[in-house]
Amino acid sequence: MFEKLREIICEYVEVPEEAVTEDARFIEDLGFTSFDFMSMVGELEDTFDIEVNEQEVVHIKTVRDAIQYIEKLQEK
Amino acid sequence: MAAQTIRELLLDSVKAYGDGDAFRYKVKKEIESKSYSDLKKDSERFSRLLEKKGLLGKHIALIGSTSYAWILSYFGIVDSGSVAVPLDASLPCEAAAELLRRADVSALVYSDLRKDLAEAAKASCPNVTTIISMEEELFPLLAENEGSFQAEPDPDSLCTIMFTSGTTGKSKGVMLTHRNLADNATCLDLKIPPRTVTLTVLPIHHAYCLTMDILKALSLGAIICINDSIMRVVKNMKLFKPEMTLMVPMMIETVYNKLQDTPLIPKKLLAKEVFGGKLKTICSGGAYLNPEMVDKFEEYGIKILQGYGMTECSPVISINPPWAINKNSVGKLLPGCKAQIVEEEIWVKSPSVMMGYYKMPEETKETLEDGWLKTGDLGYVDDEGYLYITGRKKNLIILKNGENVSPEEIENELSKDRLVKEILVREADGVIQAEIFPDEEYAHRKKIKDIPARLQEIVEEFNSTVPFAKQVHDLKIRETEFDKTTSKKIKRY
Repeated sequence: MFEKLREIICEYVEVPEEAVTEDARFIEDLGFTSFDFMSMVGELEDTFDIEVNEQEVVHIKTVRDAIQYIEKLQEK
Repeated sequence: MAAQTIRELLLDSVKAYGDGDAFRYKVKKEIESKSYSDLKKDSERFSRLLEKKGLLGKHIALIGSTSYAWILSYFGIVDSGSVAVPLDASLPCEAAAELLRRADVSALVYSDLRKDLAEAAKASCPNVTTIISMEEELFPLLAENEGSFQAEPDPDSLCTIMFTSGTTGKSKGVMLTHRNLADNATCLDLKIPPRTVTLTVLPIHHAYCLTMDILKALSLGAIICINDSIMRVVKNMKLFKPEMTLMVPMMIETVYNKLQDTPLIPKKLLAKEVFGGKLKTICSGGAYLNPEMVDKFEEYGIKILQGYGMTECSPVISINPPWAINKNSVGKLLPGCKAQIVEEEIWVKSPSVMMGYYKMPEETKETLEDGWLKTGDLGYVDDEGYLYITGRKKNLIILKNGENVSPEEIENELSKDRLVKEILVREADGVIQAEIFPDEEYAHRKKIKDIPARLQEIVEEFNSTVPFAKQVHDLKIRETEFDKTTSKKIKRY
């Protein structure tokens, strides 16, 4: 999961792969704009076959948050 | 000929395109559509509903993401001579309730995602006597109010109040008339053929979206496809295959980065994959666009028409026509719009300039002078009539997503904590930065050991109370005081 997510993240922002750690914050550390971030979440819906609630997305701050959120949705 | 009222604009289009699709949108996984005649019929039913409830001429607030229900309600309100008050769906509850009170709203039409506001209005807005849910109550109520509704609103009467960020920290209600909006939407013939398919992706409470995406598109006989979530713009492009769309620069840059990631595929083929294959035109507005983007998208066969405007001007002031694009300029003034430069500041006069700010005579006087609107932007017009923006006079941050943010508003909030002795808020690399000089004496007294950690907490507490666009994502801590002017104000620049 982490590897796949890292690959997708690097499609949106220009950062070296090593910069994408579980602790990295999307906006502050990786340089995402809010629209970059929302578009990526839209792509994650397809990649991981999940349905995201737009209201919940604001709580995702770090790469780890995103992984946990996807895992939670996949369990449903 | 420019329309004088929104009602006139709608009737002209119904006459020309009647049963043709006006809207397409997703319901679960299916695409549903509504025609121009449907919009007339449903909006007139909404007007009858207002009449029955004694709400004609009153102020009615709308909150929710773009939907057919939102749009038919809007037409039902303004075409009956009542006043629409579109609210930002991402506003925190208390801030939205405050606007309901300040705009003297009598009724609220809300989308279920803002049930919290409906509850708050019941509890804290005694003047709001009617509250309607778009999803649960609206359509049954329309069915009960079948029939037509005739009204001819005065073109120069108040039609819509839109809130915009103020430089003093208090948002201002921009009062727009029927003529303001109808003229802005119809005065320029962009030579876009009828039945053009468009995709609306911007928030509908913004003047740019309401006027261009909805009113202008309807006046052109377009088929407007409604994007269901900001997360799914690219997906919906593939689904609806639009020929035209309106975006803010932030979106254009995201899409561009996405295109860059697959350099091996021929450009036009890639554009087909990403944009659904029919996209020819993107209108850009709301913030500064890097002129390079115009050339880059041209390589994909897509024209970017950069424009300029502000809510106070309904909002479009200038646009690059597709037949004469000047990528360094924000375009040519709309027909009927005049500009003069006063001490480098752009002042404009046109049929789209607002009546004033709702119940704010002082702010109105500062902004309007003899019918001229002081834009707060610095710039010039060249010999060929192209307008250029060179800077800002007012102290307002304009983010790439078009969101206007008042630094004072954030400074005032964060200063409420005694640990923040001095603060400056500004934009840095596309995000909002707060630079803070902490009160070390206070920290010592309160035994705060880790000052940076406590400041970060203060910022995060603040972030949790404001929409995403207004959050502070960069915190800088100073060890010395800020430079001050002679009147002891912090020097901004």
